[in-house]
Amino acid sequence: MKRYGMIIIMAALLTLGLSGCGGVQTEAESASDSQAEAGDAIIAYVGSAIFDGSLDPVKGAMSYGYSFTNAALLKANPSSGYSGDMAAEWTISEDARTYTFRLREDVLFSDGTPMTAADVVFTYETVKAHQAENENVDLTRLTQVKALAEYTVEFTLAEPYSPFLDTTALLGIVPANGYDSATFDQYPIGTGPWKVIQYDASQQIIVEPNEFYYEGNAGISRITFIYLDNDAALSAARTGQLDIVMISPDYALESIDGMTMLPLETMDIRMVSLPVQGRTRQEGGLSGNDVTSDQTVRQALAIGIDRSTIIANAYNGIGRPATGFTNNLIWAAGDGFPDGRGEEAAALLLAGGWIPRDGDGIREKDGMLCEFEIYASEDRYGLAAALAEEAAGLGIKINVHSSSWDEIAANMNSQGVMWGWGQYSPTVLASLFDSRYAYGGGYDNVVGYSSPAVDELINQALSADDQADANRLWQQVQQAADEEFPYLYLVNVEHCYFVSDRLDISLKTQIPHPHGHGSPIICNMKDWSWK
Amino acid sequence: MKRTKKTAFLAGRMVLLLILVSIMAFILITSAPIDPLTAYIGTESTLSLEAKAEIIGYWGLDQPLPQRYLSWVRNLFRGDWGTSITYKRPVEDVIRERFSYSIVLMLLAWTFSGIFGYGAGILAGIFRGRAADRLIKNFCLIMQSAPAYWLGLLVISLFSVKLGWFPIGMALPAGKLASEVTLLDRLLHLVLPVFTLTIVSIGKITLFTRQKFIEVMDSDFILFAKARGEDTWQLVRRHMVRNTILPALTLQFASFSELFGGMALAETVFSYPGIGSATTAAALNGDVPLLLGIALISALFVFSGNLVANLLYGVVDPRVREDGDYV
Repeated sequence: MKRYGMIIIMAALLTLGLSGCGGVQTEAESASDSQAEAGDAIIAYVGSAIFDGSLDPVKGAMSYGYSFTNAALLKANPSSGYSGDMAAEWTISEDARTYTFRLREDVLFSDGTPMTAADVVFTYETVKAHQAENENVDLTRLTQVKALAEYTVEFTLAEPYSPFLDTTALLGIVPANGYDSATFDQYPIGTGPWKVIQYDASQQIIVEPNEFYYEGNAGISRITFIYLDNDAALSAARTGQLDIVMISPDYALESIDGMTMLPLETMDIRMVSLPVQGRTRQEGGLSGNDVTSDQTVRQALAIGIDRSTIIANAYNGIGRPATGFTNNLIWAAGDGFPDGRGEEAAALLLAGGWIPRDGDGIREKDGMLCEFEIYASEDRYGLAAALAEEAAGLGIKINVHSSSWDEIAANMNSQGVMWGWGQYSPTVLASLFDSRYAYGGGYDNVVGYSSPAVDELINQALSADDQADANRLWQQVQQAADEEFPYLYLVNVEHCYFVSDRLDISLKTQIPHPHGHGSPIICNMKDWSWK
Repeated sequence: MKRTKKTAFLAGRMVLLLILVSIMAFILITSAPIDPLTAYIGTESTLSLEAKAEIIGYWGLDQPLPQRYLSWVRNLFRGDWGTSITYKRPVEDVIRERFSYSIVLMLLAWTFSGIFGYGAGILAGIFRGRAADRLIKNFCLIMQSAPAYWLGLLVISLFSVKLGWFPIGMALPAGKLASEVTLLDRLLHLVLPVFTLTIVSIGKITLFTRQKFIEVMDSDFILFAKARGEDTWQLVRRHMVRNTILPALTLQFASFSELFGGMALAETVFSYPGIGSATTAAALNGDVPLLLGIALISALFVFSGNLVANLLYGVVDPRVREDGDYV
């Protein structure tokens, strides 16, 4: 008798296992019924970034301008300028070393206690004292923060530093009374529109509106962020279990019943660093590149390739061509140029001495092939490959490598690297162009760009006492540096999400997304509503 | 007297093992091609050099390796496992939380693969050369060579997406508060990961048992038993189980370590918040304290697995109990 039982169980196991092998097809048959049952709660997959690390602003959580629990002094607005959030207004001293913020007086924390200048002072002092635990908010230039009055805070910097304003938009305020380092990792108390009601590590974060939020309650009663593998998340969306799912552009052409794919505007760009100095032996290895150090090559690439073709090949056509930082940044230079000018690029290369000789289509100059490498992290390999294909049309051979960041670091001073940038702060320009950072071993200024004029402009911009002046100077930095084409800008990516047709994510109050691995869509969660 | 000596010997062996494991793990982790600073701040960071220096100093990334190891050991003796760079929480908290999820998954998969694997092995042996044997054998060979990750995806696409019987991932239903979660919810979320992990690890024990079965079946005393007129069922019950259970147990307990590997992949596919997915995250972030903690705990776990196997020999086989040499 027992024997038959065993046979039956095994048979069942085998059938299940074998039919599993045939079940690769993942077409969804059951469309969304579960959404209706869930009432007006939302279940969203926005990548795993919000599950990494802590939710405590003191430890660098959510510091890209879309913290949902802890509001900062300033916030980025849809036109990517700054508006007051916890600050009602602010002034910057003539020498750009003293920043004074007058706070809102009507703000309560999610535990019902009022927010005052003491809380702001506490927050900044705590971060400053534990800088090593906060990899996103850099307060090393801050020398003193003090409360001038109950609702006035004054910051003093060691040196003039105009991007400090960006910093104040990154750091959410925590309460001086009631701050607890361990609890705040999962259940932070803040003045933002939401509070965490349940945190299951690496599984889900459930948030509900903070009833004390100063702008009133959000329109959705509960939002659950879940943690899934990318593919599993897409599967879950297909079965109607999700209202929002982040996807990579590879899946942008799929369709899901009851959901629409939205490509959202970002400031996230992809570009290739091209070493501007010739090959030399530095301490720690070779640096520079004799092909990319020829400005003719860099310029020919910039004007000769057709970025739309690259985007079509690499990203299913999702994304916008970029020839510089995006215009939705207030400090971006904004003067693009038309590309796809293959003939002009060819003429330029010819005049520069790069001539195709032996019939393989690759140009040569003094016996040197017009050839270099591009190292790209795995997720950017496709883009680099699409670029290589375009460059081949110009007679420039690019060998593309899918690499670990370790391998990239070993080659970044001597070959091309595919980078991604997208942040509010113009400090990225100093990282890219300041000669003090050249070949510094870090990821800053890997091309070895060096120009006294640009250095001077960067210094002026950093020490400008007026935001408009600073922005104008940052634009000049880009204009001056981009004349030499040290970076080959390719695409302004768009972040792709499938969103339930019943949900309105308020596109007009979405800020242009920073580089954020899927989470920036939550920036305006309080404005979401059911249709 | 003899007993105390034996215990001391065992404890000594365990301590030695832990020391060696931690040193090996430390060397492996620190020589992995991951720059811990980059893993921490990301590649697109505009942090000032001062802030970077502070991070390096705080996490001790600039100290020579032997010194880092020694200070880790010193802290460990004080009960401080260090802070996980990935989760920014004390390592012991992370491990405790994750382990409580994993232990259920692991023990279930281990038990099922043991029971069903052994059973299937015996069956295959009985039906040697016939259809049932070929089916079991081929199934096991496929499962032996199938990566857990791939299998997990197949299982999800069939049972969750196509049939909709089981949840796609996680250990809890999404959007439900802890107070509303029932035991049934938890069990439903366990089914697919346990199933995947079971069939991934079933092949080895089945094939092994089948082989052993056939070996014993070909021996003289079985021929003698057959001559006495015992039928297949009697043969299996009286001789085969006794002769195959001991090696099977050894193999099953020794597979504790492999279970860990399979679990890391299965947990990642099913977004199951256990020790396996924490290991993956820690490894990708160069999280030395957490990885060392996990390595220690896993070593302890595998060690206890082997110890239990040794103790069980005595229970299963009285001959072993009498010499008492195994423990």
